[in-house]
Amino acid sequence: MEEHEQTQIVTRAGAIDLIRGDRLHCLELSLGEEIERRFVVGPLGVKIGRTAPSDIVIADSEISRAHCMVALLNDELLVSDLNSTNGTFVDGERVTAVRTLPVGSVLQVGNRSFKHEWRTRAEIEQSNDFDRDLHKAAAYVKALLPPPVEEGPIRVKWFYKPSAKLGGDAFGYGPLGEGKSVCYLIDVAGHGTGAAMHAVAIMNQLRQKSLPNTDMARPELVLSTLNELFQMEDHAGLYFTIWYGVYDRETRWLSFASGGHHPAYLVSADGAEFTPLHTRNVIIGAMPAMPFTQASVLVPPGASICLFSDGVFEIVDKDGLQWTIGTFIDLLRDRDAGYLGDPQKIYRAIAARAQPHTLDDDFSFVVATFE
Amino acid sequence: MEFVVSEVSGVTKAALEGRLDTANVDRVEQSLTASILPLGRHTMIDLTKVTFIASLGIRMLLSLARSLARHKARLVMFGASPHVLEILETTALSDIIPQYASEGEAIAAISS
Repeated sequence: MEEHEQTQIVTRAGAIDLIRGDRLHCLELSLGEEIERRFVVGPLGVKIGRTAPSDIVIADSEISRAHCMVALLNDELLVSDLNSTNGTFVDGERVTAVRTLPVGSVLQVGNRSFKHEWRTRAEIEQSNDFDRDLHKAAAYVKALLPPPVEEGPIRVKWFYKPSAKLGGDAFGYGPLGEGKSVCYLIDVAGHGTGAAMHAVAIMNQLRQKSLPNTDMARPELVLSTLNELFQMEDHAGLYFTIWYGVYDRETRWLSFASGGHHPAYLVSADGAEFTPLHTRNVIIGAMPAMPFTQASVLVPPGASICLFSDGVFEIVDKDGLQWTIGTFIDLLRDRDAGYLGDPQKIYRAIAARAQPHTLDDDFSFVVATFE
Repeated sequence: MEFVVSEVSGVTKAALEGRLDTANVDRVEQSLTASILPLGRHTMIDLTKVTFIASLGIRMLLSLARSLARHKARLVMFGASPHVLEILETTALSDIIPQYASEGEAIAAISS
């Protein structure tokens, strides 16, 4: 409510006819609880901080109560830091005196970043419609995700956060019949409603646990059939990666196959050992009639499998380091942090380390623990 | 992300530089494709100065390979850094777009 009220103040300032031409200076937040939020900067400027009376209030411990000021002067935006603890940055450079915020540049405060866009009213209206569509698509994808499983032989926890532009992540799990259980994660390459709807189409096939002439308990056959069904030329140039595993509760063997996807990890009960689960298969939809292989692993009692999308680890951290999957696994090895018991903690840890504009893909992390 | 398109021994060479991430792919895909496709020649992508490839970068390369194939031309890559090579191996992209260590090997393979 507090943020909503402050947003109204900014909008009201923008409504005063002190805008040159038909364009409005906008600060567009690309990381936050909402998929995307836009603040129009009027002639009164806006103050960004953690608490009221700032105009843009953001609950982020890295942001000072009154963090920085963005002013509009001669149709330019000017930024000044208000002696914040962690500093204000424009395109990665710390603001030490009043400086311009050029159109297209990124203003970083704490863990959040705003892009300066100069938009026509028509663009804003069109963009608002697009944002509403993205919200609907994100809600639709989320509705397809199964609820966490807190009891039983396989317990599952997950954290999913769609990116500002909405990517194509989706995942599922559940019984497959004959004492088997299935778990999978897909990641469509692309952003927006198109990628999300493609993910939905794939999910609908997998959720039915039935593909044409395919034994769903054989991962390599599932990937092969999906590859034929979803060739990118027939689906607007979209391809996807997948990790698909089938667990036999009696024998404790897990059969799995990855198609263009990085490994999932088998984690020992004490959290000390991480074993990559990967088979080298091409991306799904890239080329017809490709061979697919599977592999198997014995799951020890108390072990877990971690399954995640590349949005979890493809970041650049605040020291400028490009993370790899190895960097991410090193983070998970911190047993004291308890990441595997609370996937949302992983998101918080990554968000705290990432340069905000590099945390730009869907974030999906699933952990299944076997009794 | 920047790129330079040139010709080496009758083969189109596209040297990319920087991060092939989502934002940069949006920025360069159309102009890169427009610089390569009309030439209708075998093409090699120089990855020497590419520091990262996101999934949309992979998609751009796949689309390029498919478009060139329609012109009966092939696409290969060379010079990937260990980090980029890891991404290419994870996706098995080199099963579709062959990857070579050097420009010389790429030219030899594409010309054979």
